[in-house]
Amino acid sequence: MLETVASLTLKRDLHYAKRGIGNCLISGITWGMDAVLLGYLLTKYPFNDPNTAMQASLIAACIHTGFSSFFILLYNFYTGKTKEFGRCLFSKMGVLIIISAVLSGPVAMSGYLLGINMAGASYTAVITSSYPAIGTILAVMFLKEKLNKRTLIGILLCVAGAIITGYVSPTNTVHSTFYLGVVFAFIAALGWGLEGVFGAYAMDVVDPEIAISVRQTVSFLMYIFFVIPFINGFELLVHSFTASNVLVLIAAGIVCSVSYISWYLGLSMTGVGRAMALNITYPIWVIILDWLINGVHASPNLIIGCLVIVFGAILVSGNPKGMLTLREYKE
Amino acid sequence: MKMKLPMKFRMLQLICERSIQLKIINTDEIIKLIKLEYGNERQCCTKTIKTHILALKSVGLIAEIHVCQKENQLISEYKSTRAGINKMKLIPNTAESYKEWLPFKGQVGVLVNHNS
Repeated sequence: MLETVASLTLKRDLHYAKRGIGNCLISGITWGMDAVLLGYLLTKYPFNDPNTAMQASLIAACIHTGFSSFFILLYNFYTGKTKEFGRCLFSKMGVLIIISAVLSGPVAMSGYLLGINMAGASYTAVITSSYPAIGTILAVMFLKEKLNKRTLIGILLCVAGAIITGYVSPTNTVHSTFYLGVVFAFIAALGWGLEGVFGAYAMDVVDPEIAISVRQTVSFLMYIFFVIPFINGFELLVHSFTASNVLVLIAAGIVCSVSYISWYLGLSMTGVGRAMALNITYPIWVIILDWLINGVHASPNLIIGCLVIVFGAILVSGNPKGMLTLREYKE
Repeated sequence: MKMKLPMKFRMLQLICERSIQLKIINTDEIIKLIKLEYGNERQCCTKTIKTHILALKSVGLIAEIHVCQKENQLISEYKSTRAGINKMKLIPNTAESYKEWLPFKGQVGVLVNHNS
């Protein structure tokens, strides 16, 4: 009887850990789908105008966040968690999620785009791909997250794989703003890394589905009240709502909502390091979807990068028993 | 205006209060107490409550100290950890259950000594 109880308890805990891994993988797959949809959107009018490339990316991010925020709110209404939104917002945890929303939404996204503009896409991609490593270090420091060597190697491989897939040979021309661009890219990576840590800390006592709802809503409001007026983008924002664009934006909003809900559930159930490492598997899905939809063949560095990511992801998620206790506190 | 704590937070508070009183609380009791307070909300169901308990356990805010089986269901007994007690500092004074926590505030040492 005792053995039965012990094995049932272990089964229950392993089921919970596996659900966490599943959520992280869903977040990666749907983030890849979302990237493909947004990539397609940016080839359409008015986003494809070279004169407004920077504005267009931020406006696309704003609308996409807005739709996602709306769909997550609808989902929370359906699951009967609407009241939790206010409770979270007016608690001390709400403040933390708001800070995280500001850091990971407009700040990180602007840093990413400014990095591309000033330092070039290759350096920015490499620097920003390191966000899971930054998140892991911060989680170990501040959340006392427990990670064994195998998981740490897995996380590093996922980061390395993401860097390889996103790598483009840098040009020899160094702009006068290059170092400032590198700083902006680091700000983006830090913003995304901090989001994981702040989010995980808040989700200790707040439902992940509410935390992500607050995060997306605040992020959208930040775009509308601060980012769009700053880049003078309201005209472009209005022109974005063409009939064909709206359908893509709604689809991207739904996919993004699924991705973010899974991402936050994963953060809460498997810890920051693992969740980020599994989330960064999204380049694999982008490549597969690009090949299926657009017939784009992967280059050698994409294939090598993907293999490295897959190997890293296996190391990270291969042993759910290591996830039964995520943190190490001294009693 | 007084507001309820987020349901997951309230569950942790209940476990912490019991622990400070050196009492044990089990899954059934948590479900019963939470349903009394949040029962009129669709989110308040056994499945969600059990998921929140596992989440609190996995991040080390509560500890499972005994498990038994009753009618094919696992019934676990829980106590709070020091990390869980530390989270009580985050209860806002606008929360309905803030006053309920006040008498326990000075007794945190009791639990810490009990755990060590």
